[in-house]
Amino acid sequence: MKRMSILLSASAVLAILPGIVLAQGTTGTGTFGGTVPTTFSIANTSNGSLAAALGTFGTLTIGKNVLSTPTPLAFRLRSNAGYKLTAQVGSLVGITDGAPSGVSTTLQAIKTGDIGIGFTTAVDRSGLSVVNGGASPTRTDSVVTGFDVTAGWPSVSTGHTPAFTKTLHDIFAADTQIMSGDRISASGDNSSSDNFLTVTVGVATLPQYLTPGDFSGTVTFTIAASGT
Amino acid sequence: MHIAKLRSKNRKLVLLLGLGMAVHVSLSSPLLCQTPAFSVNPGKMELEVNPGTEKTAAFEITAASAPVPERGRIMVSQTDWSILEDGSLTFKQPGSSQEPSASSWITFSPSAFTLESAQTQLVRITVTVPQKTPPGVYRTGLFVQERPSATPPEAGLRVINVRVRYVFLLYVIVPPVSSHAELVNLEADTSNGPPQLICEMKNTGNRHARPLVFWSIRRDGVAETESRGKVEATVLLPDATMREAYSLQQLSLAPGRYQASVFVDFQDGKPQQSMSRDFEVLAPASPALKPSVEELVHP
Repeated sequence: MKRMSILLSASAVLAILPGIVLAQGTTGTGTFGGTVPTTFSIANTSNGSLAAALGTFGTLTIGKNVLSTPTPLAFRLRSNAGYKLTAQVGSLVGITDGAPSGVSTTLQAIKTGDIGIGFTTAVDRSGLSVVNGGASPTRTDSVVTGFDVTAGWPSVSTGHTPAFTKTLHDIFAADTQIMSGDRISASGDNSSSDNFLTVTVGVATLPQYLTPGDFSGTVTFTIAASGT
Repeated sequence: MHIAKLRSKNRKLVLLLGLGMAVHVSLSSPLLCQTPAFSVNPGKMELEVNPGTEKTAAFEITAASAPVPERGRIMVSQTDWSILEDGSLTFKQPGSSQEPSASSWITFSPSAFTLESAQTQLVRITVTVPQKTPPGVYRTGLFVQERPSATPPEAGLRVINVRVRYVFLLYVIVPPVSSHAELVNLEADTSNGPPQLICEMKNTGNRHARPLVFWSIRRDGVAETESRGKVEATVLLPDATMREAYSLQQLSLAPGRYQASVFVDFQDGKPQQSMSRDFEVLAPASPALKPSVEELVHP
């Protein structure tokens, strides 16, 4: 019992000691300095690392000219310098790269050209700590032609893959710039709720009588300084 | 009997303390499944290296601090990169393009490591430029990204996943180099959507230039400038031509005639270059008139 009390007393002394040491009065001069690094961040809507599904198609039930459009993925971009965002698809399993499946007398399996990709919602620039953002934003974030599908996915009329303006085929195995803009964050850090752009990217495909099977792929977003 | 009771009590206390310690350690130890958000600093670097010599530099990968500690595996891999004529950035497999690449000259370490919240990891790069390398700017890059999941995709799933990576860009400058950059043309494009200025710039030198573009828009017949702005253009690589577009969407220009002027500072110690162009913003086409119900009934 006595040993236990000695142990507890020693722990208490050890816990208090740093405070006592730090509280000692000191005099003198000091300098300060540092660097504010150029920083870019892509995070999910909880400010965590973005490693998620861009789109889960589940069972692609064949209908009549109805696209399958999984819930798009929203994520946050922060930067203290101009940025360029590129995308590339790879790690394909059960799907090959190729042009959209069209009219053909040979059997066809799903290809990258059968899956459309684009920004499904206008870039949200409403953050109060977004450079030239806020309630009436004046900043311009340029979405590369073809990747803007805010007006909707193309309509389907023939039962075949519609004329998507951009598909995974366009970003296969080579990084392709999809968006760029000026500095985003005026201040704040990676936990701030008002210093980011919210970008929403989605995918879509038309369920068809293609060769049955599961498939998966990975779209990698790369962010770099705009001036480079 | 009394001593035995005390011993048993002590044993219980020690057990309780041990249990408390174990819970504390498990709660304060980093989570294994979540990679912390991180940044790369600096994002680019220029190194001047003479042929037949080597130089070592480093950049940092810093994980953000988090209320709940996180830990993840980070991979560093090499890439070639280039700027296309429209100013967009593109990456290529090292050695796959004809462009001047420094990828085969560099060694870096570490190529994989574990990163924890609030931790900084230094990545060292050594550049060895071969003898008799012609003067010029040679480029390479390093991707920094979370290690991909080793788990195969679930059966029955049709899914497109997403991943993120950051890039560190390295310019290896083999002297002597100089840029010869010029503003070749200016266009004001109003044909497709909101007006945009397109600056055509050319660099015939063997060093890159970093143009700063100052623009102003003035309405015809109006003395004062309507609007002005400044853009940090994309890097103009050696022996390259770039036609980069700058949107004027935010100006909401009313229909009428305008003059666009640009001054380009190539930051090369030479005088700024300028150019002006007239352009017209047309009134939006009014929607085609639909016949009224009355007209349909009584044509």
